[in-house]
Amino acid sequence: MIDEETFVDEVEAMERTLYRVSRSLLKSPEDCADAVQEALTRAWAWRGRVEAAYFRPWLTRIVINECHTIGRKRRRVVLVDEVEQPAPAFEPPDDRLRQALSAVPEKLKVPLLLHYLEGFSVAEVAQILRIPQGTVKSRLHHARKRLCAEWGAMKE
Amino acid sequence: MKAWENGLLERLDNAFEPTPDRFHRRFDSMLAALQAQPAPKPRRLRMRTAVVVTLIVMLLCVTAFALERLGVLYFLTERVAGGMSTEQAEAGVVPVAWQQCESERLSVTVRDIYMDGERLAVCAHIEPREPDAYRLLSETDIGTDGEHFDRIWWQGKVLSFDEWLPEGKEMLVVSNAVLQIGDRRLPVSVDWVAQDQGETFSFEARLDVFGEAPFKENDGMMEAALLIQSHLYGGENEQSTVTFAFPFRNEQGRKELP
Repeated sequence: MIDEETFVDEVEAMERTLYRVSRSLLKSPEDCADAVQEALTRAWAWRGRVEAAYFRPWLTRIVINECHTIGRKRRRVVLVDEVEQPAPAFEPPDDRLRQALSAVPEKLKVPLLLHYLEGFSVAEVAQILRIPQGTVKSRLHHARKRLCAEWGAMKE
Repeated sequence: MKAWENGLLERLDNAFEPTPDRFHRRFDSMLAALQAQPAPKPRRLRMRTAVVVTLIVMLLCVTAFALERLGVLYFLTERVAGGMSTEQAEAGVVPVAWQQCESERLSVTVRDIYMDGERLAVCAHIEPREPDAYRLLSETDIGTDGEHFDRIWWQGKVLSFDEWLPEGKEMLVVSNAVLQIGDRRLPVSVDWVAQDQGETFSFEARLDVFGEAPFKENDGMMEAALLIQSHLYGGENEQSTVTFAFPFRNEQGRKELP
């Protein structure tokens, strides 16, 4: 169970995490904002049912679900690749790394980001993605290899 | 080449642009809007749910009551689940559907009812409500040895009161009984089962005095009451009433009527 004050504090601390997680799944920053907004609304309504210790993985899971929902809606309307996305206001500091990361499949990329970038433990990643811990470890291994390969390819 | 050897994993954040201001503003306004929302009201039991639950409970209660009154529960628990044997049923023994005892001193439990066209016999277990204060016997147990009217015939022996009655107890005597069916009262003979002399009594009434239509049926059940007189030896009579019901079929009661 989590009170309003703790909820706000935790969410504020997770702003960057929520942006990056949603950004890794959606191409448009506007869609990211929509997904996070919807996730926060749901999380607020159900905040009484989650323990403080599980709040971060729990909220991350909701954001991922919302991203998938929005992604499905977008695909139903028009293929994302067919639309030229508006350029973000700021470019990433390392565009080559962004391209390498974009080339990594989602099922490998998400565990990689959650573990190495957002600092979730293997157990928490397993909880967020609802997969066994062994699968998380395996995906992390393959994700590192794939990122390395893509990075090398970019370099050439 | 390994990803972490290049420091790729430490630099993953560089793959993302800074959080856009637009996102940040929406994020902040969203949090502010959530905080401004009124606290959710505690869940109330919906009226419809309450009505449905109440109806289900009432239905269960009515069904249980009806089954009990009709003797179905007794039939299931006693007859089907190993109670009365088929031989007993064929011999005219009928189960007791329900019973209720009203008495200050006695506890009366109807155990078996035997009925044919001519007679209705009720076997009842009777014991004092306070077994430490009283010892029970039938009036017919009290007799004389030829000189004194203070002897008790007990399991083939003739005992004096002092020999029979434990110290500190009083004699509680079952003296007489009447069977009441509807408005009619029938005299009954009082006897006891030999093995449990003085405790398990048999009351037997002749039904032919009723004539052509002896019973009032109520949904296949017949209700009767046994009015038992008892007294502390030398004292005044007190009446105990045990009301009971049992399944009844017309042909069972009338087939052998004259």
